[in-house]
Amino acid sequence: MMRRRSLQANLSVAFAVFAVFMIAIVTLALYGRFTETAKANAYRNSQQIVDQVSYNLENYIQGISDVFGMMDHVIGRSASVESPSLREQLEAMMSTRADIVSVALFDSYGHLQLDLPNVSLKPSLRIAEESWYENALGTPGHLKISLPHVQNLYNRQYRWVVSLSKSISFVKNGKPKDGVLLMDVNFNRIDELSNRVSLGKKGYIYLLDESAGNIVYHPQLQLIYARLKQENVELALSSFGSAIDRTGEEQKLISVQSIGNVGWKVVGVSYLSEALNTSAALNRSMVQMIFAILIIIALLSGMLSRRISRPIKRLEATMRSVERGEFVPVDGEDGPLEIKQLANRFNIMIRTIKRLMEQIVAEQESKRKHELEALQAQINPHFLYNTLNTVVRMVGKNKNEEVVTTITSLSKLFRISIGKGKSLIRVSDELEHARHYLIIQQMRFKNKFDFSFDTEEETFDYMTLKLILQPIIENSILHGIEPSIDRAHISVSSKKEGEAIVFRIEDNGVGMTEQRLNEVKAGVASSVTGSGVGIRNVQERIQLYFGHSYGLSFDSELEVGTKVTVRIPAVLDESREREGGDHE
Amino acid sequence: MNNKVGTAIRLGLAAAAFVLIYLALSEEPPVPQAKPSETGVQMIVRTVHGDYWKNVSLGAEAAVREFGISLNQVATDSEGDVARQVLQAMTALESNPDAVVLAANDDEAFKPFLDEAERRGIPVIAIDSRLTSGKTETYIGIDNEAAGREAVRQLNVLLGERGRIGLLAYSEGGINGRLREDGVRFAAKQAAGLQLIAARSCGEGDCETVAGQMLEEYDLDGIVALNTNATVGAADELKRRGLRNRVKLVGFDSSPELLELLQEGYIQKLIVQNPFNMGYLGLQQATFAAEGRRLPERTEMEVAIIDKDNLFWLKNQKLLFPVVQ
Repeated sequence: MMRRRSLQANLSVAFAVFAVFMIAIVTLALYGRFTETAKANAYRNSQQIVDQVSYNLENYIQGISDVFGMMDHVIGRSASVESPSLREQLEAMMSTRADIVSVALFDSYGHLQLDLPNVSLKPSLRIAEESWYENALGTPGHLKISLPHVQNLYNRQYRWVVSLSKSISFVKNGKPKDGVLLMDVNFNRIDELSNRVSLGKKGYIYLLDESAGNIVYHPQLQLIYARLKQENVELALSSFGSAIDRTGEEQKLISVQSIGNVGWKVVGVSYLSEALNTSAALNRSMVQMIFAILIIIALLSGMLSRRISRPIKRLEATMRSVERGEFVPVDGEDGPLEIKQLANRFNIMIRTIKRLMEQIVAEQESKRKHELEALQAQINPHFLYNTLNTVVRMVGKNKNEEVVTTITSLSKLFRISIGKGKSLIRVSDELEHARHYLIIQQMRFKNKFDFSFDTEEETFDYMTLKLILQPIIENSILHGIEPSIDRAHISVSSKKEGEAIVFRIEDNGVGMTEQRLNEVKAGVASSVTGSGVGIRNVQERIQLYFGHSYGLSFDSELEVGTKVTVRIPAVLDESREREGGDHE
Repeated sequence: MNNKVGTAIRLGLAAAAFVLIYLALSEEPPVPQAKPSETGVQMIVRTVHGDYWKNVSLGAEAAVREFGISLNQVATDSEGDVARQVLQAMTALESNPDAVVLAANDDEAFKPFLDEAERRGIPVIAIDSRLTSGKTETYIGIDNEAAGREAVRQLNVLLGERGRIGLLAYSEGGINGRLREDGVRFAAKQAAGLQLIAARSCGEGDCETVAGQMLEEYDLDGIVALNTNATVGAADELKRRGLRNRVKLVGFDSSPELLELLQEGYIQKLIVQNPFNMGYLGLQQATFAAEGRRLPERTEMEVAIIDKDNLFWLKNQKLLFPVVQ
């Protein structure tokens, strides 16, 4: 069988399980929502930053393109590329922007026509092989913006630049010519704009050339070249807005925005773990909250279940003391209503048990007392004296046969009444006892009465209290027959009526007045003479043993006679065991 | 008694619950960004001078940003000052870093340091120079012996597999210098058409002179110079003597000066390492080692062979000109 757990434990566990279940549901729901929100925020933040960078870069490139356009315009309008005024104009334009490294004009053979600042070019330079030159000639009239590269025009000067080149027409020595205008712009502005961006602690942005997929700018370009680091260029090229890159060790959030005028893409890379950092802080407080709630619930459930179970335990302790025989009422005042009611009921029960027990003790005591009285009645010296006197008289009259009868009856009378010390005897023995008593009294009263027995054999084996018939017969003789002048008759009968044995003792003596009868019924009538063990003794003994539905009933009419009916239950011999056990 | 203990426990739990609620509701966590998890790495490099070591630092800083490392760097003034570098390294151990990234000037002299680091359970990552005297977690750098052989191979091609060559080493070249020299000597022996007829070493400031002496004394077709100083010295001497392209020069490392000489034709090939990546990988591996991960025994880095033609290739530009200026 399963081990039973205490009510307190059951309640605590039930509370805790319920609480954990609820918390788990709420937490999961909230966590999902928070994570989603944090993710959405991360997406938006990242995209906003990338858009901003893209806008700035576009603006910047637009700015230098404008300057380039102005120079193009000025050169195209100039009468000669060699005129000092043109040079002055160009120098003035250049001085407005610190990031323009150099401006140079080459003719279609790659010969230098005009350059700013006026520093001699590298002798080893082959302009015609430079990519910006080829590109510009390849798409006439179109402004080409190169990838950032190291400027290879001057000695001992290696600057990172972006080259703007365009094939233009100019006039030299009065003749129109075609050529390429080159403007190198320092890359560090773009580098700064890109490098300054912070996407979390680890995040960064890089620039991508949309047409070829080349990386224009990357904070760790060398690592990329050495293949120590990979960027998911395909994903960046194919996506607009934000996407999650799951190819790497860590999940990355990629946000993309195009820079329209140069054909580059700004790609923002931020680490999801970092972007969701705020939700990590949120998780932390949530976990703390959950633990706090758990502790509080544990405390509350402990307290509550203790409040419920403590009075129960006290009740139990009281019950245990009741088992030991100490009838102490329990105090249920501070418990909940149910417990209080339970305690009250319990207290009532204890009181009842106590009363019943006291009653039983009292009953046992009175049983013994009555029995003793009944016994004493048998060895009443008065009765013995009278009987023996009768015997002496008989001896004097030589009525030997009657003497024998009387003495025999006396001895049998005593034998039955002493019995084996048992309270219950067989009905036949009780009838026998009555018969012997009647015989003795008949001898004594010189046949003033006769008697008859009408007994059913069926009743003989049932058990009855001893000494219940004799006191009634004694009464009958003393009060009914002795005062009577006529010869009287006493009949004794035994019958089984249903579940009861009924004895009837009838005499046709003087009878009783109604008042007397009522006194007898009430058990208050006192007899002046007799053995002293009255009808009351019999009545009380029967009722003590068998309950109040049994006992004596009287029926009497003056000058007609008296009828006493004794009802006892039909109890068979085996009940002697129980009765014996009761006697200990 | 038991009841009192129970009450005390309950009160304690209630207090804990309220503290937790307070923590959960407080805006700023009481222990904010002071991350105890941040790995502390000590980096000890060979010298503060030169583009090479600056680029190592740049790479290291890139890793700092990516991995959230707190980095502390020390270096000696001169590559030859082995005693001082060992002292610096031993001092650095006192602060109990999570890992040490070491570019050592000497192998044997660092034995006590490596033993002490092992005793303290601090992983040591060797970069640039391989260490054999004690326990290191891993080595990140080029195979210097192979680089020496590669230099000779390049020279052999330049000379059409025939010629007499000279070797100009650097006296404070440390472990790498010796390994490169071994590689050069081995490869020169292997190449049937080459004769290594001169071997000199020069120090700070006198490389040009030593190269001049070598050119005076021997009739050389080619020279292998084993580091920046030696290469610059040899190239300058060739330029001074007007021996452009007559004596082929294969050198090591890169600097604006070397690149200029390369373009002018006084140097034919440069064997260039990637110090940025070395610094980055050094710190990356240090972080891994601090986390207790197993590292490969060595991370071999490739060398780039740079000549006049590929100098401005997109791939080489970032290697040779790492800083945007």
